Amino acid sequence: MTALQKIASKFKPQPTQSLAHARQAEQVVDLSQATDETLVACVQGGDMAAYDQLVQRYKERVYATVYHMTGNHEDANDLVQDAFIKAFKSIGGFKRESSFYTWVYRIAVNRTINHLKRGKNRHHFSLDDIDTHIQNDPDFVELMSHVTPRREVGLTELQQKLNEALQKLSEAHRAVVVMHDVQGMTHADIAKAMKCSEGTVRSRLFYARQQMQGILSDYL
Amino acid sequence: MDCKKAQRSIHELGNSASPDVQRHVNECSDCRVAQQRSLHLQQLLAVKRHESPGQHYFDSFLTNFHHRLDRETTLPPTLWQRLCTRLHIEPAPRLRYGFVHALGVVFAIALMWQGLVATDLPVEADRAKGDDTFNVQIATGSLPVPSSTPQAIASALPAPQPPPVHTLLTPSVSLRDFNSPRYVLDRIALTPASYEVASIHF
Repeated sequence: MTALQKIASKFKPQPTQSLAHARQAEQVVDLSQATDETLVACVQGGDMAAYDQLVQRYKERVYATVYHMTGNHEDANDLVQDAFIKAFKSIGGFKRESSFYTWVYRIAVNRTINHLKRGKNRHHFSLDDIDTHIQNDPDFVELMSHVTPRREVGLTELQQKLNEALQKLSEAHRAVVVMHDVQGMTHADIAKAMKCSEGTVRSRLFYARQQMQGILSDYL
Repeated sequence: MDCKKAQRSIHELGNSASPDVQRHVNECSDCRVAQQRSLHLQQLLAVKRHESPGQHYFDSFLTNFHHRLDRETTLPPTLWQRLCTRLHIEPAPRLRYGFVHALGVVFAIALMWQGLVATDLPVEADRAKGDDTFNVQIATGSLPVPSSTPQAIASALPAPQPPPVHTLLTPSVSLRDFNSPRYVLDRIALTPASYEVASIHF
């Protein structure tokens, strides 16, 4: 029986077993409220639904990081799915020394860096749209309040320029900038995700920003 | 505090920089500009938070993930399964054995047929077909040899070269025998070609 069939059979309503179905529904409710540690323990015990819950929890954040590193929706989609599959296959050996999020993040970032190193000369963007919530973002409001003729550019052009600037950074520097400035992660979390010291994270952030300021000087 | 250190601290720690750094920034216009630029860069990068593939992508993410996981965990079909799918046959084990047996029988018949064909061909058939190779082989042994041939062959041979050290090569048969020249190794150098021990004597 395949993994998909197992999940399907788990959620398949069976009129003769209404009590079991009710228990399963209760379990689903519990899963959405369960901590990562509990879910990981369930997955290690063979519960696929618990892993689904973990994927649902972190898919957006992991996708965002990978997407900003690659600047390409298709690659990001493949890499995020790869990362979750890899995590699922090796979750048996996960010792819970770090959080599941940090662990899966590390897998995703490492895979993305490897992918970028392999296709060094391939640069094409397939950018996602900017959502409408941006109008309520205080950073964006603040940015637009200082409009000068140089900064009167469309959002799409700005998006393009930002991506170009990011792609000019090395993979490690880009990862740090994305995690800190775009995703808002702390230095400590980035250090754990990238398996390096906080000092290294700070140093990379400093040099990456210096470089980006040079590239985006017209927009600052 | 020097400007380089202050600017590094601004980049690394942002608003949570130490009071010393803040004091320096208030006094130094270069560092104030650097701080402003750093802030603007962070605001620009924050725009990227709003890039999203849309909710429909995340809604179908789990389904796509399961499809992919299923595909990766399932073993690829064997040659037999692919053949059955192509020919619309039920891949039952009985059929598989039947197929293998049929193939074996066909192979055995083919071998037998080839053997029969090979033994049935008479030598005369080759002659009747005018096989040049056969005829030439027969003719060569019976033809008279012209008297000038050994001298001609001897003159055509390259001049004899001095033999290498430790070896002496002498023609074993006279050229008159009308065979190609043969050489026999008279003496072998004492140095062995291999250092392997041929036998151990106690």
